[in-house]
Amino acid sequence: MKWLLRGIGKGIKTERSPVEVADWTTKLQPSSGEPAPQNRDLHCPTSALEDGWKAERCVFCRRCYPSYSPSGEYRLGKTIRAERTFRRSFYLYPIDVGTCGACNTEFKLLASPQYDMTRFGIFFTNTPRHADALVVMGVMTEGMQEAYRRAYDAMPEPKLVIALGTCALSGGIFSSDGIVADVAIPGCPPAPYTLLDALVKAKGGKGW
Amino acid sequence: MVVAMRFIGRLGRYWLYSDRLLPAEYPSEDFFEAKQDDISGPAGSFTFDYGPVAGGLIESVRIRLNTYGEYIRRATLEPKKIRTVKVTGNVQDALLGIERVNGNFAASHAVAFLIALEKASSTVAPPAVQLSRVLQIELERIRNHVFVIHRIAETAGFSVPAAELLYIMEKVNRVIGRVFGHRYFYGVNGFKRATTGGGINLTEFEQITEEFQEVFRGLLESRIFIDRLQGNGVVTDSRSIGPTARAAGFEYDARLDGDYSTVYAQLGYRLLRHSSPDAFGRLLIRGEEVAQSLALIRSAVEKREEFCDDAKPDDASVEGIGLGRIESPSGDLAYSVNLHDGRLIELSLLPPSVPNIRLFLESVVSSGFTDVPFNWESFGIWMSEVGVKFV
Repeated sequence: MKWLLRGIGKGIKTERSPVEVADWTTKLQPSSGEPAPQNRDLHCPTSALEDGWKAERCVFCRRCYPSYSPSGEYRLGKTIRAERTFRRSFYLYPIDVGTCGACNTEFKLLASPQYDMTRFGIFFTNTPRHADALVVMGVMTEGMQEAYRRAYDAMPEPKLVIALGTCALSGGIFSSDGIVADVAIPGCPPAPYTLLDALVKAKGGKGW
Repeated sequence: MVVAMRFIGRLGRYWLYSDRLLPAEYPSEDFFEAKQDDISGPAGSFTFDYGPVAGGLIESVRIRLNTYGEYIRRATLEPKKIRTVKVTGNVQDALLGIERVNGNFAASHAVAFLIALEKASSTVAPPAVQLSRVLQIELERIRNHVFVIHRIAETAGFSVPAAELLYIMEKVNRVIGRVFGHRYFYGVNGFKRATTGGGINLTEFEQITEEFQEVFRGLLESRIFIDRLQGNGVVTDSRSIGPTARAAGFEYDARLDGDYSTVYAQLGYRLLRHSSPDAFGRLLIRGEEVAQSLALIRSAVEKREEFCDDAKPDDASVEGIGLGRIESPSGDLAYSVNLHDGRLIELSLLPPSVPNIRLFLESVVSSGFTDVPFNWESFGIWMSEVGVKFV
């Protein structure tokens, strides 16, 4: 009871709209109006600068700075297939197939009072049998392939696969292929605003 | 303070002590690779696999517990995600991989690696850079300690303080993001350089730590909460590190005997310790170190104004070997590097999670089944830095 009253006493901490995002988690754009240099000139380690900036490859290492600089645009997610069945209730089962841990904590922070994902009808679940979407984080490692496959097979239809972070999307700095996904959320790691916007769109919403 | 020699762990082909490296005479025998299948027990016992993916785990790991149902007979651990990080060759490319060994300790890993690199090159980073690095490590420590206490509160089912701690952690992340441009310090550090980290609002940060202290005190007033921690995961091993060692009363801290110990001495660092060698003691140490890290950050910010960073970024030297060791949020973190022809040809890592996993596996024996998650979280272990191979 003491904690409950304390919690209520703190008031509402949830943000109605995005407040603050770290620069080097947002879309990169050429700093001047001139054609920007490409991979080779900027020593891009992940070939993210071929014919413009490729969000799914960028690890935000800043080597391209000042030719490229952050724009502040955090809506980086790409929804290949949304599922409106989940628009009222969307249960996510996260699986770490080979992360550095940063994607895990950013994903976890969606439950913090600032973001409070539950107001959008988004929840975590502890079992793939109750999940609407499998959230895959990290580069696919050999030891996690079976766990990934079994989690996917255990999920009921309809279901979505969400690739979270550059490692899951393209391998990033690791020598690995990305996974095939219905929703791609770039970032190294993606900021919670980026995640929330993409997740709301994945369930058929307009984003955040 | 006179600092006694202490054992830290295995670093590549050597045993690392606080003041020396000794050749390891026998081949690597990682505890988690040893006899994974040999965990069967007597009649009536069974083996329970926790993980690799479970709601109570933040990362993928398989913990095998042999139990009669309550009493744990034996435990082994298997890191299921093993990543291969390319580090040989260009040191700037290697740094990208080092930062991503453990994203939550990215500053600690980058700084230990860069110190090793600078020592191999017989050079040191300018004072302003050293202070910026200390600032990063202490910010990282605050974030991690808050997160560990959040995890323990969440495990105990204390939803309100767990949410409040997550709220505080997000606020710390925003400060880091605002000051350094990235919430996990990626792309901040380099050879003899670091993003200055100017513009930190100390008043705002003091408010954040005050909010933390309020929640922390509330948790300590709850008998139900501390009963889950006291007597759970007792570690009295003198071969321990970090908060685990300090909770047990050992004066072990790389801020006293590692690289940058002189910087920490200038900032007024004093070691905190307790005589409660269990999960509760580790919680106390982490809670008190949040306030201590704030004081160090304040000193670092004030002191840095005395220096101007006039160092020009340059390249690592052609030849040399070097060792860097700092105090990460979970204990000693060390890198050794070997440079040849300006390129990295050998790199070894001793992450704090390796000694901490050994201590966890030893301390979990004889405890109750339901004590395991509390004990696990109290060590602040990150599997990402354990399951990594350098090529």
